[in-house]
Amino acid sequence: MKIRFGNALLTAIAAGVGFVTLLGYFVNAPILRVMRQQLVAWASLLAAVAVIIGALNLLQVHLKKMTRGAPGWFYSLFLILSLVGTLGVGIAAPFVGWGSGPTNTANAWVFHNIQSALGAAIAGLLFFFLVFAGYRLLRRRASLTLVVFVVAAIISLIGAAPLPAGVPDFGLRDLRLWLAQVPAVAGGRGLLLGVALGVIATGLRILLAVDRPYGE
Amino acid sequence: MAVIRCQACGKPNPDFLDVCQYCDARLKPLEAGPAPEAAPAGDVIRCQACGKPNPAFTEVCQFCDSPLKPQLFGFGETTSAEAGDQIRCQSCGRLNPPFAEACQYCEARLRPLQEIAGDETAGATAAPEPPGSPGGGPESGAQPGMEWMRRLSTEPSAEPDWMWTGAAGEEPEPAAAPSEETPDWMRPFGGEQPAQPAEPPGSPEGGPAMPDWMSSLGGEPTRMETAAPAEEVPDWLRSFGEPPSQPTPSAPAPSRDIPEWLRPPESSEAEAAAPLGETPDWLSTPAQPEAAPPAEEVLDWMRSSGGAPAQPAEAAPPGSPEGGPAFGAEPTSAAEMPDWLSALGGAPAQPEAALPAEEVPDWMRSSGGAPAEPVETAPPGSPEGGPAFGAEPTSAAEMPDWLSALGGAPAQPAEAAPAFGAEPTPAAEMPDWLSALGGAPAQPAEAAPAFGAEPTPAAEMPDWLSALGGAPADVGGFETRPEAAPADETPDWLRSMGISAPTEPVGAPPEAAEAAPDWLSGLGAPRFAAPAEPTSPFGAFTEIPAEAAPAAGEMPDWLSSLQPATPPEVPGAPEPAPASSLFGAMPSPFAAEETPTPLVPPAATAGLALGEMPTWLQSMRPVDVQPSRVPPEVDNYEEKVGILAGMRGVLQAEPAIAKPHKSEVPVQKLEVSEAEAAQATLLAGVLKAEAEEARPVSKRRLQIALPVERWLVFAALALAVIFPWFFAAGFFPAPTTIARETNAAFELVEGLPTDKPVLVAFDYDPAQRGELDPAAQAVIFHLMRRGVSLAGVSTHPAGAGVGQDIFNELALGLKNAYGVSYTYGVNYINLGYIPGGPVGLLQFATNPRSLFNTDFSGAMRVWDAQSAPEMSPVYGLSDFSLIVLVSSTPDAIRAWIEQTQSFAAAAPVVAVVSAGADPLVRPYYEANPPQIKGMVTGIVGAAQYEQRAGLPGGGPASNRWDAIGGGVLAAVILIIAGNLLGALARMTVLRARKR
Repeated sequence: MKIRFGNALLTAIAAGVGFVTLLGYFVNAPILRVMRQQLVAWASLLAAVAVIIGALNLLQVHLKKMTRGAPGWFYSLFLILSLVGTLGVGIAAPFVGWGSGPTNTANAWVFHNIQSALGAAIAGLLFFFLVFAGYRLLRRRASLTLVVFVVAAIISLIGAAPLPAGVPDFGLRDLRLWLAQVPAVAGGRGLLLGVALGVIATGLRILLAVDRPYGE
Repeated sequence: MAVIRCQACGKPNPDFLDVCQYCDARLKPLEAGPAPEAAPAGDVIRCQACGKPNPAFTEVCQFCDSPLKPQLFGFGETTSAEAGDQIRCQSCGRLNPPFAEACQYCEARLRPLQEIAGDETAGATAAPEPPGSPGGGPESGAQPGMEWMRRLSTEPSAEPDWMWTGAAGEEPEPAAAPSEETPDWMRPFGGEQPAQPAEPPGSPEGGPAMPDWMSSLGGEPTRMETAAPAEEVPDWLRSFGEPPSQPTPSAPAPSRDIPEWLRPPESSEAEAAAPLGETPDWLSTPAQPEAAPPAEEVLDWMRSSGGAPAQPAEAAPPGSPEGGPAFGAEPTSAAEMPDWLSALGGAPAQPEAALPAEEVPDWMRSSGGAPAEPVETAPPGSPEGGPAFGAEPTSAAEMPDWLSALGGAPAQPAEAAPAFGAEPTPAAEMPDWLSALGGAPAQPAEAAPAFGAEPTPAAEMPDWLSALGGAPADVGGFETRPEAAPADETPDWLRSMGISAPTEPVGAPPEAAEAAPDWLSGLGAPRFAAPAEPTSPFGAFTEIPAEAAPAAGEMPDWLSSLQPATPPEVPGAPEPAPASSLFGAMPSPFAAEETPTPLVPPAATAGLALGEMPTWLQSMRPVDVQPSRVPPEVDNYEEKVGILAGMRGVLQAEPAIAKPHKSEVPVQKLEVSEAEAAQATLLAGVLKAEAEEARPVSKRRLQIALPVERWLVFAALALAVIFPWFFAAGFFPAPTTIARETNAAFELVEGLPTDKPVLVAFDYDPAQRGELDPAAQAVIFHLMRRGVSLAGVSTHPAGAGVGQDIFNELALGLKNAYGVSYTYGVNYINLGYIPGGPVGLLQFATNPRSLFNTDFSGAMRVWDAQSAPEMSPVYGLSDFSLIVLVSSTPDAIRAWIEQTQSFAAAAPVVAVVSAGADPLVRPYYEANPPQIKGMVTGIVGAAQYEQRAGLPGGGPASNRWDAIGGGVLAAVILIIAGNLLGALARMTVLRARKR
């Protein structure tokens, strides 16, 4: 069942809640503080429910993919089995004596032996592929940007990596520190400022109902 | 296929062609084909020109465009030509039907006028066929070719509408003495029997009968007299020979067939021309003035010139002999008849009907066209009155000169005003142009000869006619007899022009026969010698050579005034119509492509002065046309294949217009921008490269496939990591220096109070545990070693589990290392996962108790003092002594800082981040005031922190330092080597390409 709400109603709710919460930061009024706290609490609950909805949606998508026999349906089967198994084991663990909560034996086992292991393995492979990409970086095309990138990567690696005993760093450590703390941080600051401004603009657009991601 | 070589150009032609395809000369002699009637009935008609068969329904030969059926001048229908020998044109040599008077191809006369007149005369003497009877055959001496005419005259029903006989079936009235009343040239139409002249030499024996009007043009009264009976002569011609003395008007014939303009007038003269009842009105004599057509039926030009009927018409239908003249019909009165008409022969004799003198053009008046003086009330055309147009003038005075000169003017001189063309009595009356042509009439009292009739005296001949040739034989276009009238018979006006009788035999083909228009050729045009100078009976409008001008005394004033001072020299061929001619600028519809044959022999124009061209005419003078710059199209295409091979003029299967060709107009220069030009160049290069022959990839000695290269790199890295781990421990010394931010973090942890818990946020996935676990463990172990309570949270779903593991491991290690028991729930607790991202952080920052009731396992109540006494004093973030944020991404650090800054002012923040997040987290550390008090970055930071903290066993980072060193060193070496080698290879390839 698809429930359609009027765009005006949704817009009014979003705008009202946003203005009340924002106003609570500027006006130290008890009522506004209480409302703000209550709205934030509801938002946390909604976020938690959204996680559940996300999981269900993931299950639905992959079920459709598997039933239709779309390409990669085998991976969807693994995902569904993993989800159902983990969820089922977690639900059944208290009844089986494996403990309760997300720290039950089963979940812990899955977490330690599957999720952590696989994650670590992928992260490890990433190292090899990154090095290989750096190894062939200038073979395709040699532009100034690529050359600077390669040089900066070498300097950072040499500056950060342990050097054998007796091997001088040739000032690369200090250079690396300078690169990490001056140009990199400068770029970081610019990014953060842009992000901050974008967040403000996005918030205002939502408050003013210019963007309505919540409705049609 | 056989080839016929053209005798003219010598080029080969297929044998099936009759005409050379290159020069259009005949390849095969003309063969007289069978008579049209001999052709297969209903299917094929063989062309008489080329001899090729054509469908019966076609009228024009498909091959040579020659008419398949005999064409008769002036008649839209062809008659069934009687069987007979075909006539070969003496001009072009082509065959023509026996009944044709003029050649179908060159329009030259096939037979002399005398012959036609004789035929007509012979036909006239034949017993007329009763009306309604089908047309008879060649009988009674009528020529076979004139059967159709005879039929017309006898069979009103068979006549075409436009040739209403009017008096069909009426017996021709016995004509009076032709010499007295009817001009010879008109006599045959009126049934008169002029004296039979001898056959003109050269005329084909037994040739086809010539129409009356044509035979009458020959000026042979005998022929005209022997013309077909009146009922056989078309109405429109009848009036020419209609004797004015015919008293009884015939009954009005229904004007059912002949158009009004051809209907003869319903007058006595028309009746008198009963034998010529078919005479059209414009030629017929107006019988009764009261029968004049309504005024509206007469054109204005006629009315203004005197053609308007002065009297109302009677009941007689117009066009009928009794009725008034219809359009073209003879006006019943002088007022009705146009001057030119009346001058021709129907000058009204009625003074009250006569036009006022001022209305009559001078030229007509002077020529006698208008009544110069009041005459009797006899209706025009009546015997008493002036001769009607085309009617036989009653007297020589009435007969136009040219008419009388042509065919025997009536011997009765009449005091009536001469008709048009008649000899003007006084010279003063002659229009200037006419007088200029021929001077004063020599014999004003002489009646104009009948049209076509033999002018007895030369004086009777119209001036223009006499000027043409003096004797009737000399009149242009008219048939002349050998015994042409003596010079004194030449009309004065003509004589004044100095035109003498031609000496050449009549009937001889003229030199410029092709130039003669139809009407002129019909008049026997090229009978006179081609004058060297262009002459014209209308001398006032043409430039008459001086030598051709008549004697000064004889030239009319108007003509002499027009005579050019210096006549142009005429080449051998006659010149075209001179510009000074009134009609010089107008192309003659009858003129052939060749120069028109002048009507007046050069001798006749001698002495004439060039006329002055009016200014208005000069403006109409044609301007020399500039030669076209466009080259004439030359079709040289010769078919080379198929059955049409060898032929020229064949339509190409693919017309040239359809063939793609480059425009002659240069294409405008395109306006191309730089980007477009570059794109075009690129595209051209790509296309060129594709078009180039594909070159095989050069084989290199050390050509290694990419997967092998990849495996080699992987192997090198693995060796670099594994070898130091097992075989080169201590190869890479531990760091001896510590980073500033790392030292700050250490100092901060080292100075924390132990009564407040420390919040540790594990915001990273298990995948980042390899890099962050050493740093996190170093900091947490340091905290645990100090005995600080720890509370773990995570905004990441898997972070809580990571935190749980770290807490457990470190607790065990601490116990093992230091024998300090770190109990869960007492010394450390894991709160779990904070959902909602920033919102959850905000809520947690606002009121942590509202977010968690139990720990991550769900078995312990977090805020119970008994279960978790370290958490009991915590009500907000400020109740924590330190917040340690462990994250692999800067977003989590930013979110923590943004949401909890205002609520955790008293709690410092230490960030444990990966090396990649360091640039984006350091601004918070380097801010003023700094938002982060310390940082521990990656493995290097962990190793430094471990060294600084002096953890036992060095710590995980210290333990992995050799492997880390080997791997990083190998990575550096591989990256440098690989890029250097790649650059060298690229340079080599570029050099090879350049070469």
